[in-house]
Order: sequence, then structure tokens, then C-alpha cells
Amino acid sequence: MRIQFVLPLLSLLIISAHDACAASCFYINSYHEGYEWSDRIQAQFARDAQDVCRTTYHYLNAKNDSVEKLKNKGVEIANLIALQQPDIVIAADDAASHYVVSPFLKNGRIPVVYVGINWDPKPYGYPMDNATGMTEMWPVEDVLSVVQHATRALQQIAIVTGSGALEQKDAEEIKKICNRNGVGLTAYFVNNFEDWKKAVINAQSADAIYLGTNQAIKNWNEAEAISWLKTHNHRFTFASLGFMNPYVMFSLSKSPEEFGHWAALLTKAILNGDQPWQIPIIPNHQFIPYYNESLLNLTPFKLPSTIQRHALKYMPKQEIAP
Amino acid sequence: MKMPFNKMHFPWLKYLAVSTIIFIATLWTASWLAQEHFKKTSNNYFVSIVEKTQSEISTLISLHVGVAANTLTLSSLEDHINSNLSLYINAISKNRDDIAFFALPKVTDDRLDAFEKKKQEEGYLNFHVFGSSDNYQQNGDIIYFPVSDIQNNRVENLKNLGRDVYSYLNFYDAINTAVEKNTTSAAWSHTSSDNHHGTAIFSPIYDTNYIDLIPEKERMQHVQLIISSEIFLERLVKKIINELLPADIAYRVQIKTMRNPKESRTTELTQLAEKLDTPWLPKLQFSQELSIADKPLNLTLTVVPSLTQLSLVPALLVLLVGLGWIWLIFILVKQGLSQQQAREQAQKTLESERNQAKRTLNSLGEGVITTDNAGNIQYLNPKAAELFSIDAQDPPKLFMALFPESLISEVEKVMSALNEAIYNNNSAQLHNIKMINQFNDTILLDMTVSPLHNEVGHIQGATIVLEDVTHLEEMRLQIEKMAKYDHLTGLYNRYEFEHQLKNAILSAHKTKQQHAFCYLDLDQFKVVNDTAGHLAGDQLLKQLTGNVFMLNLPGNAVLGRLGGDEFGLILFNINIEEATKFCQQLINDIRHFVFIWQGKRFQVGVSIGLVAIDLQKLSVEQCLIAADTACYLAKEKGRNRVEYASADNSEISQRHEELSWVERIPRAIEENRLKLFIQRMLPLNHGVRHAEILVRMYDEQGSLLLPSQFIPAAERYGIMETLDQWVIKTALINIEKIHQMSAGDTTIYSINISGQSLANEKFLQFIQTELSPRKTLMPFICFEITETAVMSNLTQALQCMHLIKSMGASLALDDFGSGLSSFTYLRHMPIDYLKIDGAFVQNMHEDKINRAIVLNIHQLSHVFNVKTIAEYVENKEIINELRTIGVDFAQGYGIHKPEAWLV
Repeated sequence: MRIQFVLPLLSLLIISAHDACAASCFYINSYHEGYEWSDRIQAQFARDAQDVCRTTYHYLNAKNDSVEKLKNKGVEIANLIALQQPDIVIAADDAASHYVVSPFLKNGRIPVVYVGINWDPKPYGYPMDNATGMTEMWPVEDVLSVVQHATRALQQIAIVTGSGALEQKDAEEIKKICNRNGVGLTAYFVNNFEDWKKAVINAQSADAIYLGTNQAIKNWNEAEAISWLKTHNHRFTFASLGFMNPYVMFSLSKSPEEFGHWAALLTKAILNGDQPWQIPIIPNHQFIPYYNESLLNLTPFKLPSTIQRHALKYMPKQEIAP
Repeated sequence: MKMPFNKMHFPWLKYLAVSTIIFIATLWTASWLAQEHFKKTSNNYFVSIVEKTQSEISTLISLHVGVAANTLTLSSLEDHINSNLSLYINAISKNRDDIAFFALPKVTDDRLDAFEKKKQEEGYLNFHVFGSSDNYQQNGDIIYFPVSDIQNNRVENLKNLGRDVYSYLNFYDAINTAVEKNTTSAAWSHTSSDNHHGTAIFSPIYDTNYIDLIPEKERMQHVQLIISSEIFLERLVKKIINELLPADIAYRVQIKTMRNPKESRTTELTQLAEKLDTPWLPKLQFSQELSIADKPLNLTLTVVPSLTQLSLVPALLVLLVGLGWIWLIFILVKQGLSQQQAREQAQKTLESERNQAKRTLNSLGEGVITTDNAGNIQYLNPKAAELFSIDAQDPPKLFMALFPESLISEVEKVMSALNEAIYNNNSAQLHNIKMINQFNDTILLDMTVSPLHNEVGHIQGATIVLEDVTHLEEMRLQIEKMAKYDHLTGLYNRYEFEHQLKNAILSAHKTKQQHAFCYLDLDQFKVVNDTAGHLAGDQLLKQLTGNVFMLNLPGNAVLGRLGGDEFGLILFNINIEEATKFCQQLINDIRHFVFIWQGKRFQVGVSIGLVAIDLQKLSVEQCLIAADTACYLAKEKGRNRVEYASADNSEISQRHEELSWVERIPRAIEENRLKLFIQRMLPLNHGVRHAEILVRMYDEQGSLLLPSQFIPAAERYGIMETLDQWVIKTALINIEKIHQMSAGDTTIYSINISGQSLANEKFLQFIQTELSPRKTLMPFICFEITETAVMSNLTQALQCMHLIKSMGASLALDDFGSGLSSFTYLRHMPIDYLKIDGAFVQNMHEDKINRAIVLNIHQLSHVFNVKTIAEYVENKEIINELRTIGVDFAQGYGIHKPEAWLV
């Protein structure tokens, strides 16, 4: 046999032998590559789990694909899991649990770690014997306190966000809490930038505007959005996602890294022998307050002094780069 | 180098002990130094560990207090929003696994379900409160302090989520204390089932800022939340140890806490445990009490040093210094011992030398006496005492007193020598000093008197070495006598007689007087020796000397024994006639002398050769030869007569000439003046060619000498053997050359062998040595032996002839018919050829008898299958006759005259 064939085969043998020693992790990203939120979760996981297991990454593209397509994709991934028999599956964000874990892995042999399921994991069948994780919560009531302080008179909140299912779920959860606290809420789900601008104009009727994700909004123009908001918006704006900081006056940003890190910690514990059901499901804890001085200064709104003192000042990108 | 040890004795054991003590002390010191350093360092380590642990505990408690304070100061509305608490806790506890923060809200029994539901809605999906089975809340409403929030999430901490801390007795007490005293309290967090070793710290958060105004027992009603932290002691201590202790130190840390006086818990942290379990390695142990919020904690550290932790440099220095001291001591001891040994050796050597000198002096054959400058005896050895017949232990004071007054002349000589030595620093040797010994015998002494010097070279006396030479002198005289006289007869020996003869010749020349020298050779003396033995012969010579010679000789005659029965006599102032007359008388006297030995009567005669010693310039040797020759002639002429060796005596001259061949033949061989000639034979019946090898000599002037001129002399004086050997050797070499040059040569070469050679056993060996390597030549070699030679020693001759035949050569019997000519013998001889004597051949054509003899010889030879060769064939007639007879070969001048054999 020629040496040209022997060496690659030998290398493969060595690699496969090496791989056989390491645990295999099957990571399901609910979104597409390039989506900042899920990218940051995945990146943190990859960093923290690099010595724990060999991970393969799989994507659902829930921001763009249709439900049908996502279902098909879920079947494909489930088949792949059945074929590869990984040591553990990590399901990041809702779609992964919705289209893969819930229909195919629930109470199965393969342990599952989920992270980033918004508000309530029960619809996906959690708690499960073979799963644990971290639910993505946002302290709406606490945020309402800040908004109340800033606006002085808070009766109505508007939500302007993309039109995805998750955005609708977010809106419902927030609305539930707002209503519980005597605050009305109107939601605007938009598909493109122009509609978004129109929705913002319409939202001027509310006391404050919650800007949800812009990731699924077509033709989004960051610079235009910022400048447009400066001239056309007169209401207190706030958000729960860090990448919306350029467009809002205040945000209490969830940390995607917290989910990625926790997913890695759980993966390590389970691979080391802990049973998933023994590990309690917990919510996320880390929230980072930001304020956007350039927008706030155009308005009369004032943040509470403690918030002002401890929150991070959003630095526009052009200001960061010298 | 002068060492203080010089005067000391150095037993090795003492210094071995000292060195061992120093070595052990050095080792101990080095070890102590090395360990002391480590002990100090380890103590520092431990102090650091203790301090750091205590400090870290304090820090953690401060963190806890800080967290509690922050919680206290924040409104509940803001506490989740405000980044400080969450981020602060995360920041301070980031990368710390030794502390965990918990929120323990107070939950009353009636609100427990609502609380659990609320927590589940907050994201703690499967949140339930659980606790221990301890039920000691007997009075009032049951309250819970469940772990509801964990700020720095770690998976292992999550197991505590929902745990009602208040249900555990140790926590119960601590929480009550914290709440009632409004303070921070602590409790060991472990339970019997826990596998960790930690401390739980509790700080209460009240619903009022005026809690201090509220009675302690009522404060539980106002508490809202307990901020709890758990400090993981093992992790904390391990982290600190890893931070502070070098990685190569083996250690064991024991953390001992007391849950109660009866229940303690000990946790061990170890590194390189195998070293700790090695019994012979040194171990250091440190222990210290610590406290966590007033809870006692005992920390014990056991360490084993590694090489790198030992202070090796000072230890090595000490070790080196110690070894240096040992080395120094070793050197000093060795040097001391060496010096002592050298000294002892020197003393021993000196003593030995002294003893040896004393023994030598005592055993010397010479007497030794030393005196001081006044001549007083200082020492004398036993031999000296013996020589002077005195007691060695009690000698006279003065040396000169040793000599008797009668020997005044000797005393003067000795005194003079003594003075010369003492005053002039000169040695003197005195010979044959006479002395009278105890037996009144005169003895002779040789004395060497030498000055005796002290260490600085001053003369302090004299040394006299005495040797008894009495016996030596006697021996000298004896030897002198033996050198001159014949021990048997007492006459002059040959040496001395020749000396006397020389004096006589000189005297004759000087005084112009004539003397006579007689060479006497006894006749029949051999008969006495052979029949009565040598003792009889000796006795006869003695009697003859004493009774005949000495009685009849004139007073001035000199008689000497020149050999066994040969005597020399010098008669002074006598002419030849008188001398001849005297010799005749002497012959008569001897003839009448009868020697009787063991009853047998013997008579001897004497032959005398007489030589005149006159003005002729004859040497001693010439005189002897002349007298000997004359004596030989006298013997040949019938013995008992005197023969005068005069210049005109032709017999004497011939005799002289013959004698000269004795030395001329060997010299001719040496000078290559012997030459081989060849005389070819004529085969008369078409036989193989034959030739005879002959020898010729050239004299000193180059003239050719015929064999008849030197062969008889050679035969007479026994040098034929030498001549034969030369001829055989040379002939064989020539024949060898001829065959090398011309392979077709079939000539048979005849070589003559003399009767003398044939009679000598050594000649057989010579023949074998020469012929053996030339076997291929043997068919071409024929040895001729004369009939007379064979017959004179038939046995030896036959042995030689058989040997020659066995080697492959052929044999010819020469001169057949000239001697005994016995055909009886002929049949027993292994001969191939018979040479008919020339006397029958040379005139056979004229003499019918000779012809008949030749015919008979030839015919008989053929009967014995022996070929015949006729000699002296000088003409054709003879040849014809020989052919007619049938003789095989003819040899003679008529055939071929001898010529030089040129090869």
C-alpha cells in the first residue's frame, strides 16, 4: 500500500482515537449564524466547554424560517442526534427546545441542557427527567419601577418589535405583568424598517416605548434609526437586549454569556455524573443596566440616581473607536 | 614543617575516633543547618498560611457583611435592577469557589405554597422547600429560611436551592443568634452526610431600621431575609497552600473543627503523601488555632522538606569545613606518623647498622683497634684480641703495650705509622709485622693505620686494621714453590726448567762458556705404568729422581721434569764429549736401577738427546726441539743411548723436515695451496669412464710438491685425516658443480681414503655428514682404500666400507698385491673395484710372472664380481696385454698424466 494512503488513514485513526476519548456535545442554536444574541451564547459555551467535550453546532434559523421549515429542520437534527448518539444535547433558546427537544428527546436517554427559553419552559415539556437548564427571565416589574420614575406618570406602554413568535410571546408576558401592575400595553409587530418607524410614530401615544428585537426587521438601517429616533421620538424608550442600546435611553440587558457559561457548567456536571433531574432549573441572574446619554439628553427624562450612578453608559461605536 | 605532634604518639584509633566525632558533628551540624533553615522557612510558610487563611476568612466575612449591608441599604424595588448587588457579588466571587452567597427569605408556614409558586414563576421551575426532619420549632408559627437565591451560581450550590436552613439545629441556633443579636453569626455548615467542610455565616435583614430598639426575642418577627454565605474551608486552605507552599514540598494539612464538644470533624489535604509516609524523612509539624466568627478551627500542617527547600549551601559549607578539618587532621596525623615512622626507621636502621657494624667488626677476619690521640685503646674487636692474645673486655690501656719488648723493631714501625696517622693525617700500611702469639708462635700481621676523624673532621685518634697474613705468607711461598717445582719429584717443572735453560743459554753467551742440555726420555716406563699402575710409576719416578739423578749429578747441574717420563738436564761448563760421557754413565746407572713394586722387579732405560749450549743463537724452543729430535733418534736407534744433535747430523735434519710438515700441511690448507689433480682411466671393455682424484701441494714459494714429499710425513704425524677430509669435501663440491654444469657426465670419480682416517671412528660421522645430502651423486663416487690400510684395522675399515656402500657410493681396493693380498679377506669386503698394484703391471708385457699374477688377480676378482683396474699402465703393449687378460680399466701415464682438476 502506498505511503500516500497510509499516512492520511493513520492520521484519521489517531484523530478518531483521540475523539473517541472525548465526550461529544451536540449544540443546537435556535437561530442563524450572525445573530448577535445566539452567537454570544454559543461563543461563551464554546470557550467554557472546550475542555469538556467535542462540540458540533447545528442551526435552526428561527428568525427567518417558517414554522414548517423549522419543523423539518428539527426532524433532520433529531435524526442526526439519533445517528450520532452524542453524550449531551445543548438547546439554546426556544426554537431548539420547541422543534427538537420537546418532540424527540423528552425523557430520553440523552441528557439535555437548555438555556434561553423565554419566561416559561413548561410549554416545551419541562421539567423533564433528562433535562435541566436556565430560563431566560427579565425583571419586568423592576424595570417598570425605573420607567415609572423616569416618566413620572406611567399608564401606558407600547411595544415595537419584530413579528416573530418569540416576540409575540415576549409581548404577552410583559403585557401580563404590566396589567398586573395597572399599566396598559399596546404591541406593534413589524416586518420592515418603514413599518417600524410608523409603529414608533403610533407609539408616541404611550408613556414609554419598549423596543424589542430588530433582528427580523428588514431594511434595518442603524444610523437612520438612531437619527430618526432623535427627531421623531419623544417618549422614554427602553429595552431588554444589549444590541438595542443604540436606540433606547435605558436598558436592563440580559447577558447571553451567562447562558453560555451556565450551559457549559451544566454540561460539565452532567458529563461528570450528575443526573439532570438533580440539578434545579434556575433563571438567569445577570442584568446589566445601560443608559444612552445622547438620547436621554434630548429629553426631560431622569433615571433614578442609584441607577444613574451604577448603570453603564452606552458608548456608541464611533465614540469607542478613536 | 615542625608539627606539635612530633613528640606525641599517634595511634590511629585515637585519630579515627576524633575524625569520626568531627565527621558526625559536621554531619549533624550540616543537617541541623539545612533543617533549621527549612524549619524556619516552613514556620514562615505556616504563619503565612495561617495569616492568609485568617485574612481570607476575614475577607470573606467582610464580603458577606458587605453583601448584607448592600442588601440592607437597597430598596427592595431596586435590588434586582441595581447592578451592584448582582454584579458586585458576581465580581467579588468571580473565580472564587471558596464562597457562595445565598438569600434566605423568611417564609411563614401559611405562605409557603405561595412562596414556592412565586419562585417557580421567577424561573426556579422545580423549586420546593425542603429541610431536615429536626422539629424543634415548638412555640409559635413555624417559619422557614429556605435557600431561594444563589448569587454566584455553581452547579453544586444549586443542591441547596429550597433547603430550609432553619430546620438544621446548628443553623437554627446560629440564625437565632444572628437575628436576636442583630449580628453576624456562624455555624459549621457540614452535616454528617456532607462531604465538604464549610462554615455558614448568617446576617439578618430586618423590615425596620430601628431593630435595636426592639427586644431580642421579638426581632424574629421583623426579620425579612437572612443573607447567608458559605465558606468552603478545604477549597480556601488548599488554594492558599497552593499559592504559598512550593510545589515540591510534601505536606498534610489537617483542618479540625468542632461541631460540638463531642463531635469533631477533621479534613486532610495532602500532597506527595508517599513522602509523608516515609518514616526516615524528617517531618515538621505546626499547629494553630483559628476562628471563623468565633468558631474555633484548628489548622495543622505537616511538611517534609525537599532538597530544594533545604539550606544546602551553608550545610555544604559546614560539611566542607568539617571534611577539611578531617582532611587536615588526616594530613597532620599522616605527616606525624610518617615523621615518627621515619624517625623510628632511622633509629632502627642506625641501630641495625650499628649492630651490623658491631657484628661485622666482631665477625671480621681482621682485627680492628681504635685509639685516641694519645694512643690509648678505645675499642678492639675480638679478632684483634685474639691476635694479641688478650681479653677483649680488658685490654691494656696503651695500644703499643700490645707488642712485646723483644719486637722493638716492629714497635718502632707501628709507632711511626700511628704518629703519621694521628699527627700528619696520613694512612700507612705495614706488611708482615711480626708478633708473638699466645702459643709463642711468630705470626705476621698486615696493618693499616688510618687517622680517625670525628663528625667535624678533626682527628680523634687512629684506626688500626690488623690482618693475620701468616697463613697467606705460607701459601704464597707454597704457590711460589709449586710454580717452580714438580710436586712429584721436587725437581724444577717444565716452566721453571725452561727458565733455567734460558738462563743457561744467556750465561753461555755472556760467559762464552759451553753448557750441555740433555733431553731424557725413560724407556719401558709405560710398561710399569700399564702393569703396576700409575702409583707405581709415580713412585718409580720419585725413587729414580732421588736415588739416581740427585746422587750422580754435579752440584751445579739443573734437573727438571719436562713431562710424564721426560726430564731435562743442564750441565754447566762442560763440552760435548764430557757431557756424552756423563750421559752414558747416567744411562748405565739407570739401567742398573731396579724398582721393586709389590714384589715385582722393574727396570727402565733412558734415551738421551744431547744439545750443546754454546755461542749458537739457539732459542729455548729450538734447544728443546733439537734435544727432543735427538732423543727420538736415540730411541729409534735402539734406546738406552745418547744422541747428539749436531749441525751435521742429516738424520736430525730429515727429522726436522718431517716435523715441519706437521704445521705446513694445515697452513697449506689455510692458504689454499692444496690442489686437486685428476687422472683419467681407460675403460678397456667399453665400461663407464673412471678418473682418480689426486692431491698436490704448492710450497710457500709456489713450487709443486709431489705427494711423496708430504704424504709420508702426514701419515707419520697423524694429519692424514685432515688432508683426507679436505680432499673429500673439495672433490664432492667439484663433482657437484660438474653435474650441475653437465648433466650427462657419467664419470665415476675415485677419491682416496687413508688408513688413519679409516681407523678413526669420527671419520665415519664425517662421511655420513658429507654424503647424506648428496645422494644423487653417490653413483658417481668411488672411494679408494689401500689394502694395507684395510688390513691394519680390518674391523673399523669394514664398518666404514659398509657405510659408504649403504650411502650408494662404490669402493675400490687400492694397491692390491702390495701387501698381504689375501683373497680370503677379499671375499668379505664390499668392494666394487680392485686396483692391481702397479708393480705387477708396469712390466707385465715383459715379465710373465707378473702377467700371470695380474691374470690371476683379475680372474679371481671376476669370481667375486669385482671389476679390475690396472695401475702404472705406461705403454700400448701393456694395454694390449691387459685387454687380452680382460682387465676392465687401465690407469697410468700411458693413458693419462695427472693434471690440475679445473672445474
